[in-house]
Amino acid sequence: MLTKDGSKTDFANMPIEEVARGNALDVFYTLDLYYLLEESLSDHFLKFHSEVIEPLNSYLALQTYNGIVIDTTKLEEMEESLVQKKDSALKAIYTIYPEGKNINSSKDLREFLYCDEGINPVEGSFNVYWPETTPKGAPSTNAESLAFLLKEVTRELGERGHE
Amino acid sequence: MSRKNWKEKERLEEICRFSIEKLPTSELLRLEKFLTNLLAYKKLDKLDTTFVKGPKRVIENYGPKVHCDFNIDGTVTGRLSCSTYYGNNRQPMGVSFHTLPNKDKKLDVNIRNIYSVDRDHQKFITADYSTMELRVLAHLADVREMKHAFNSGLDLHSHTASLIFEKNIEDVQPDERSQAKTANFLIVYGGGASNLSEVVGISIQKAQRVIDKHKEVYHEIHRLMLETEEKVRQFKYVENPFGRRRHLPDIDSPDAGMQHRVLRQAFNMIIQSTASDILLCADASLMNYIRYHNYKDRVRIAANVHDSMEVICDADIAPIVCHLIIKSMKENPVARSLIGEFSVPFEVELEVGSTFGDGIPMEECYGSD
Repeated sequence: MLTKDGSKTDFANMPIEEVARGNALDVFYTLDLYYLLEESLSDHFLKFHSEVIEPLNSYLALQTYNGIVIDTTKLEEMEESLVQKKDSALKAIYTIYPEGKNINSSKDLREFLYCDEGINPVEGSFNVYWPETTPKGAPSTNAESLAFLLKEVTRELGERGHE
Repeated sequence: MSRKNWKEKERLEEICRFSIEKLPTSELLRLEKFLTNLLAYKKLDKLDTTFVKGPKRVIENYGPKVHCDFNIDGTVTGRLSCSTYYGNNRQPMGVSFHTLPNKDKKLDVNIRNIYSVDRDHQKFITADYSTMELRVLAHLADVREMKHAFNSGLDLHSHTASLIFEKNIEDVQPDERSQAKTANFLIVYGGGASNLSEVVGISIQKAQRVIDKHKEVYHEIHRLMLETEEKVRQFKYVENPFGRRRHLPDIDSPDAGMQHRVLRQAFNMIIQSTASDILLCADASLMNYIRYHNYKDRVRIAANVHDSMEVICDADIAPIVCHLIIKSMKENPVARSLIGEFSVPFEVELEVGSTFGDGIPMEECYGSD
């Protein structure tokens, strides 16, 4: 704690009269603040506060303290299942996507999905037009753009009789 | 999004559609397979990294528990904000318990399944208010047709579609219901024709017609909006029925865009904060029942997520606790004592299981009585 002149002090070394005075001032100004706030709060809200929010506070503290258990067996199972699903999705992707291309690379995806205009198409690419650009103006490969492409492809296939 | 950006987005999407239409069917099938798997992979990878690998790394050191720190003063609308920590060392989880994804039916992944009861002989109950904000809106704005739908047990969105498209409710098509549903929610969140167009994939002109018709059939909502605007301009704050206020001094801003934003926040505040305060009252009601039945050591509210309440209790008293939760949420004696009767009923969907995600409807567990 810092005193007025900037030197360090602590409660243990402070004369009891000073500590008592400081605490009294704390209480005084807190009460002052309470009256000030009370004026700006409606009676209705104060009733809601005392009947709902105040009692709820101790329950919320208990919620925090007790926590929620993570089932480690289920966590392991979940990890295993996600790994399997990711693997099978990846296999299906690479039956179409060229070997050596990275699915996490926006540049690689752009070259594979979109038509030229500054992009060098790779073999087997689709040459479609991008539905959105990034803030820097590059064709976007974010999830929304890919979802839009998929939605339109599915719609077009539906119109051609492929449900 | 500005009108200019919107036009540019529409232009790009149109060219994109055109380029897709030019592809031969075999290429379209190939592209569909590629995109489906790519999107699935990206989603699975995100779930794995955020909700499985993250916890796994941390619980080895801090123990297999998350602790949700709910803050009652964390948001301007009074909704509980939530920071989530692992173990007692308060290691931040990085994501809020509030943002745990729901079950992904397509990918057959339910991350919520890893959060479970404390002991074997317990049940995890999740009770969710159904269409709460729209019920609050119907009550506060005194919307005759919405109230009729809720009080007669009609599907609100189909009813709205039947009014907008002027047809019988049984003739409403799924896409019309979807448009009406989106319009209903957009009104609460301050959206307009451009949002509707984007979400349901119809032209701006058509979206504008839907919004205009929505304003016509639910004209009471727009009257409440005007009344709210008047109050904000006069008092510089809005207040919900519980007396919770949000001060909005920016209503005097010379910037018209800012004023528009403030008005949207004001209307949204009334609806959202009322809904969230009703849930807090339901919590308080349930706590009273728990005390009355002397279940303090056998039942605990584990979390509050948006409009839902998560409760863990001993399995032998779970049917009684389900009944008490429904009573607390539907009848909600604490809320009624504070703001009086509601003109629409509250509906609660309640599921019972052994984890946060594996619940089945209460009726299937214990019958409808």
